[in-house]
Amino acid sequence: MGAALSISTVDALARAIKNKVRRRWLTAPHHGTADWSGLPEDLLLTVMAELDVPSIIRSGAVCTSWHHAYETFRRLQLPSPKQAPCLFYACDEYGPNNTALYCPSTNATFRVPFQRPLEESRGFVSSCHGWVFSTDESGDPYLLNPITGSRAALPPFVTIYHGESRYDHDHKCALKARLENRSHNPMVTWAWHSGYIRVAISAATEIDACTVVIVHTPDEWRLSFARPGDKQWTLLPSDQGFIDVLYNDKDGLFYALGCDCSIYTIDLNGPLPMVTMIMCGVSSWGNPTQYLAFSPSGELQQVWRIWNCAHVPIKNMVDDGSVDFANEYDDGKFSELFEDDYKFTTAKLFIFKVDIGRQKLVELRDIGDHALFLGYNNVVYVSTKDFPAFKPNHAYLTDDRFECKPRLKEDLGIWNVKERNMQKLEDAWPCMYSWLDLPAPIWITPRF
Amino acid sequence: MATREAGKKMIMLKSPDGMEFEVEEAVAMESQTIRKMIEDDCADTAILIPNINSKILSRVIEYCNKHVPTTGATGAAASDTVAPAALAEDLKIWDAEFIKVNRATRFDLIQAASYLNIKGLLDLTSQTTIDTISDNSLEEIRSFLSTKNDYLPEEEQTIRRENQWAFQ
Repeated sequence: MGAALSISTVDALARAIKNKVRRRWLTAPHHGTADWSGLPEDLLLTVMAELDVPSIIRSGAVCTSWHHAYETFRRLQLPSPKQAPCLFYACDEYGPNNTALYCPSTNATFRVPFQRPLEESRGFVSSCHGWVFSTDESGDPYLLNPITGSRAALPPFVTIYHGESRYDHDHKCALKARLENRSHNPMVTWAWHSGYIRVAISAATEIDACTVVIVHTPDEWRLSFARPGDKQWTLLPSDQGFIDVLYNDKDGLFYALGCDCSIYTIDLNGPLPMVTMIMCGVSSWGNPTQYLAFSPSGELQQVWRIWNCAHVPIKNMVDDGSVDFANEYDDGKFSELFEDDYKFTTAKLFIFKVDIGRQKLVELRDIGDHALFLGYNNVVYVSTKDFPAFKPNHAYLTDDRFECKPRLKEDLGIWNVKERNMQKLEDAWPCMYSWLDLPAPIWITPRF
Repeated sequence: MATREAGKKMIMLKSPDGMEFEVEEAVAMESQTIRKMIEDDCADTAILIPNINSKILSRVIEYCNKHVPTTGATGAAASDTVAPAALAEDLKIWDAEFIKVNRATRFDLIQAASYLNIKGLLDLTSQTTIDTISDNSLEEIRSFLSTKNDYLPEEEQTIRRENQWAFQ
């Protein structure tokens, strides 16, 4: 059963529909016959916007008038606020040509046509909105929406360091790429396995008009951007290495997380890219995997995922006075947990508010009635009031240690923010098939 | 001119089948459509509500009566004295009973709620439709909502083929 409609959703949708759709009585309204085929299109659109994506597709097949509404819904690119993240994973049961899409909010599994990436490759590199960033057999990246089958080609991987132009550090003049400084020759195996680290997409609806920013190797972890159809990637000017990137649709800027946990905004809206530091570095420690996030209220956050191989307490990982912790932590037992090189698991998770005014990270004790999703995806929050299938104040994790051999069954789990412990995903959701290690399962929020 | 009764402003609503309903103005103004008519001074002695028969209109008025924010003798909102949570819970139970109607009535109610622009009633009626679609297969949706499958066989085949995975 769905939760009650939120008033703000209905308001926003009613406005959107009013602006875009003229009421069309599909058949003259009259009483007593109750043929729901005759429901006015704007009402159907309101209903569809409260369904998840598989249900919208199903409703579009009911009859011709509903199908017309479904086509309108897709044409207007109306949002589906009732779509929660799903786990997208390969399993033996579905073979190499299909991938499982498990929707925890409805406890349904769908068999989605999606060619499994090559065994040697990392598989799904990342997901952002409803798009999966993956690589083909040449190592070249592309975006694919597994729900619609839409695909957008991105510039080939060899252009990441072969671009004609490169901006200097004053963001002013473009220089010829200095190929002689490259420390690696791009190789397919590199592109398959570890070429691309993180991906952010500026908008999900008009994929041909969007901008894609990637964090990539070789050399330092750098940022490059391109638009589908571009011939090459353009390297962004910075001396800094980066570990995550995220797009903020509220201000139209990309946000990048530096290796030292500094934060930069990237403005790609003008003729030349502008990279601006907004938060200084606080830690150069390599163990945690750090993520950028926007809280449900739009606050900038950092999430630190500390692996069980950490040998020092978290307080020793940060610069003095740069982080306000919520508790005294005894992290002494981290090293005891770590027995085997191939058994990295998440030992702790920390969520920080970024206080740009004070240039500090402030640890949050909880995330309230929200669940957080992270792994090979842009971090997503959902309201557990809207999606009661998810536990409030919990983080849903997929594995994220691509540089090591994947141990995926070890580290897919649900982190309890309050109790600071983890439940394995396979225990929480026993009806799922046993997922394959490669391609690594990812969270994806389906959309048209 | 609207009539007055016991100090409360009354409005007459007429259904196309000739029935008249005298309701408090505050109750009628739960409908944004009627509110606009009254505010624009378009409301005469009676407002004709086209397309909504007396059976459905009486149910709509029943809903608005229950949901109008009641005021005490001093003019203070009733929710000042009754715990808002308890009030909301009471309304939720009442709504659940109210919507236990056959699908023909539900179909009329959703259209009436949309035409009269009564947000709460629209949410309530939409939600039952949403639940029907969310929880059922395509065949069940058609059966529950009594929608006619007016596709040609080959059309339906094409639509199913395009998104086969969603129909499992």
